[in-house]
Formats: sequence, C-alpha cells, structure tokens
Amino acid sequence: MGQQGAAREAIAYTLALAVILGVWQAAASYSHLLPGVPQALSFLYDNLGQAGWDTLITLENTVAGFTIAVILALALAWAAMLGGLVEETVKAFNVVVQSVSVLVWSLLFLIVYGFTSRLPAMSVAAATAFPIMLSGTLKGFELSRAEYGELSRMLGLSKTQEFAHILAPGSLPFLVASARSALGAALRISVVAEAFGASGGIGYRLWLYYELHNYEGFMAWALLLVTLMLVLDKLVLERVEAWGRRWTG
Amino acid sequence: MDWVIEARNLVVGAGGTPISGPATLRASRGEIVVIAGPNGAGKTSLLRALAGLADHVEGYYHIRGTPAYIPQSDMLLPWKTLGDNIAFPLLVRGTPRREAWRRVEGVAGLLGLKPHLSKYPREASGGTRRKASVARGLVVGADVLLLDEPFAGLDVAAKGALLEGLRRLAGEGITMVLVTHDLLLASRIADRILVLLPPPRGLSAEYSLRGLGKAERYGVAEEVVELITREGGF
Ligand SMILES: Nc1ncnc2c1ncn2[C@@H]1O[C@H](COP(=O)(O)OP(=O)(O)OP(=O)(O)O)[C@@H](O)[C@H]1O
Ligand SMILES: [Mg+2]
Repeated sequence: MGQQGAAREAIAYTLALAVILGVWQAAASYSHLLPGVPQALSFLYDNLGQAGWDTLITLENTVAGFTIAVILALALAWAAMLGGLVEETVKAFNVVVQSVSVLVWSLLFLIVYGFTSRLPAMSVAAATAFPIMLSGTLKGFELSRAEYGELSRMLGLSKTQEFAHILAPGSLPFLVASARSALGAALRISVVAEAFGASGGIGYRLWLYYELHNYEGFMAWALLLVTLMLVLDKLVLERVEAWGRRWTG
Repeated sequence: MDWVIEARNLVVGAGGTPISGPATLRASRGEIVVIAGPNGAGKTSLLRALAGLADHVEGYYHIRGTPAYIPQSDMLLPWKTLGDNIAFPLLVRGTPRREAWRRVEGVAGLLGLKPHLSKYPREASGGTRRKASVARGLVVGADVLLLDEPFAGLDVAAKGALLEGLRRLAGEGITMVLVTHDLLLASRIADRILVLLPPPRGLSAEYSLRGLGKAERYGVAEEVVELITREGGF
C-alpha cells in the first residue's frame, strides 16, 4: 500500500469510528441506562490496571487456543495428503466441528473443565480457529498440488521433500490468510467462554459489569475489546498476511 | 548407429483409449527433432511418455542418458528466485550449495540468463522465465531435452534468443525433441520435422532438413503446414 493509500485508510477508520461513537453518544442522550462516550472513556482510564490484566488473560486464552488449532490443523491436513478414506474423513470431521455452535462448545468445556479454569476459553478459541485453519490449509495444499504436482514428479521428490519445498511454501498465502481470520474469530469467541466462566479476562469482566448494572464499565470494556481486535488485526495480522503473500500477484 | 532416443510403436493411453501414437522415432546425439501436429494430436502426451511421466504406455522406448522435460507451462516456483529455481533439482538431490551454484551459473551463461538469476519469476519476462525453465532441465546434466512448445507466448526477440540458446545446446551435444506449432521458426534449427496425427495415425510423415539452406528450410516448413492443415480436419 502506498503512502496515499495508507493515509486514506487512516481517514476511513477515523470516520467509521466517529460515526459509531456519534450514534452511541446520541443513543446515550435518550437512554438513562446507557452511559455516554466520555463516561465510558474516563471509567476505562481510571481502571487501566484492571484493563491491562484482563487484556493479557484474554490474549493468552486466544493465542493458546489458536496455537493448538494451528498444530491440529497442520497435522490433519498432512494426514489428508494420504488421500482416499483418510482425506474424506478429515474433511467430514472438519464439517462436523464447524457445525457445532459456540454456545455448545462454551458450555461443554465449562462442564468438562469447571468454571474457574481457563481451559474452557482456550478450548473454545481452539474449536473456533481449527475449522478455519484446516479449510485454508487443505485448500492451499490442494491448489499447490494441482499447480506443482507435475514438477514434483518430474524431479522425483519424496513426500517429505514435496511437503517442505512445494506444499508448505505454496500454501503459505492461504495459511496466513486463514490464520488472520482464525485468530480474529478466536478472540471474539474466547470472550464468550470467559463470560460463562469465572476465570477473568475481558469477556468475564463484560459479563460481571452487566450483572452489576455497571454500564459504564460494560461500555468501557466493549471499547477495550474492539480496540484490541483492531490493533491486533492492523498492526500484526495484516502485516503477517502481506508477508505471506509477498511473492504472489 | 547409437541412438540417444529410440521409440518403437509407442502408444500412450488414458482411460483405456489411445491418446497418442503409435510413434516410432530415433534421434542421435546433438540432433534436433521437431514434432508438429494439430491440437490434441498427442504431442504433449508423447513427450511426457518419453520423460517417464505418463501412466499408460505401450511399446518400446529407450533414452540413453538423462532426459529433462520442459513443460508447456514454466512451472517455476514463484517463491524462489530464477537462480534458486534452477538450482532446485540439484539441491533436492543433495548437491552442495556451492557446487549447485557453480553449475547454475554454467547453464545460465549458456542461455544468457546470468543477469536475471536474482529475479523472482513475476519480475522476469515470459522469455526469461522460459529460459529459466530450460535451464532447470539442463542443470542436472541432462543430455536429452524434451521441450513442449517453448516458443509459445514469446515475442520475436525472445524467440530468437531462445532459438540461439537451443542451437548452442545442440552444438554441445544435447539431443532435443521439440514440440511446436511455430514451424517457420523451428525449421531454422531442425534436423528433422516429424508430423504427429491423432491415433490411430500417429507419427505420419518425416522431413529431413539437414544441410538445407534457409529458403529450402522455409519451403519444408510450408509443406508441413499444408499437410497439417489438410489432415487436421478443417
Ligand atoms: N489424462 C488424460 N485423460 C484423458 N484424456 C487425455 C488426458 N491427457 C490428454 N488427453 C487427451 O489426449 C489427447 C492428446 O492430448 P495432448 O495434450 O497430448 O495433445 P497435444 O498434441 O499436446 O495438443 P496441443 O497442441 O493442444 O497442446 C487430447 O484429446 C486430450 O484431450
Ligand atoms: Mg500440448
């Protein structure tokens, strides 16, 4: 992206944010429960330490779950390369996992691990990120194979060489693209599991403030979550994706 | 005579039916054999069979030495530079990096590729990519090149440069089977032109161009074009 493009993007984000905050402020002036933007911001400012802790916990849950998902997805995609029944089973498994609702995952993992454990949030993040990662990886492998399979045969590559030199780099753009959406989804979903449990994190705090009728706190933490999402996406994921695609196009 | 390439009644099949051949052909060291024929005649299938890449092959064929198949598409890996693409077949065979690079520079010199080795495929022109694809075939010490439409999509200058590169390789003793629709161009370096028609006809005509001058070569090319037009079904 050129400098001009970057400037335009910054303006676009500022405008979008202004519209959303404007609507919020307008809504706040009609509702006696919904706090205004300044109140929420000052609450956030007064509780920065807490915000930092919650952010850390949520990030840890998300990243841990995401990492598990990536490892599982790569392992299964690698197994699917064997073809035949294994490949069909992996694909079917993916569809089944994908069709389980987040609500079910959250409650299920809470039943399994208990309410004070952080494992439910991590597991839900993993369960959300996993199908996205697996679909992207499978697609990347398939397309690389279609495009460079003949080359592997021409050069007589072994399965391991084909994986290391052709499938892995060939599917990198798909991997980073799906990592971007998987990590985003994991973050949005892990807070749901946090809300049902009692182990801290942004989601837990959102639910707590809601229960306590502390709507300033609620809006402040909602803002915190959105900011975290945007920062993660713009400053980290987008760059990683651009790196993974550097030789395409 | 010691043939570098020899095939007798070679038939390539797919799904139980023949898609190419029968083909009977021979080539001696340093010879350039051009194969022409209508679309779908089985030229690519014949080359893949000679390269050992086809699944269903009947008849006899033998290649003395190491063949390299240069496919219709470049199949360069976009995440590697042209140099690394050319070195790739050596590196996966365990050739040390230093030795691999020495050989890459050798073949690159032969084809006029040296200034382009650090480019990525998307930064190189189509002609340069084609040459890189040829170089990747050569680098393993191939003494037989099986080229599938290497001139397709190249401009006049790139075609000329590649043609010169191929002529030089033939001078070094490399034997070539060259599939092309560009007969006027190919006639400039061909020792023989063979016409392949769809099965069951297979390889149907052979023209020798050895010792002919430029004008006579063009005359033969015209004749082949006429034959293909007549037999091609249009
Ligand atoms: N794997 C395959 N299965 C079935 N049919 C095939 C297969 N590969 C090629 N064919 C058929 O075999 C015939 C010969 O194909 P081939 O690609 O060898 O032709 P060609 O002479 O190279 O044509 P062109 O000039 O268009 O490149 C075509 O009719 C094609 O459709
Ligand atoms: Mg072809």
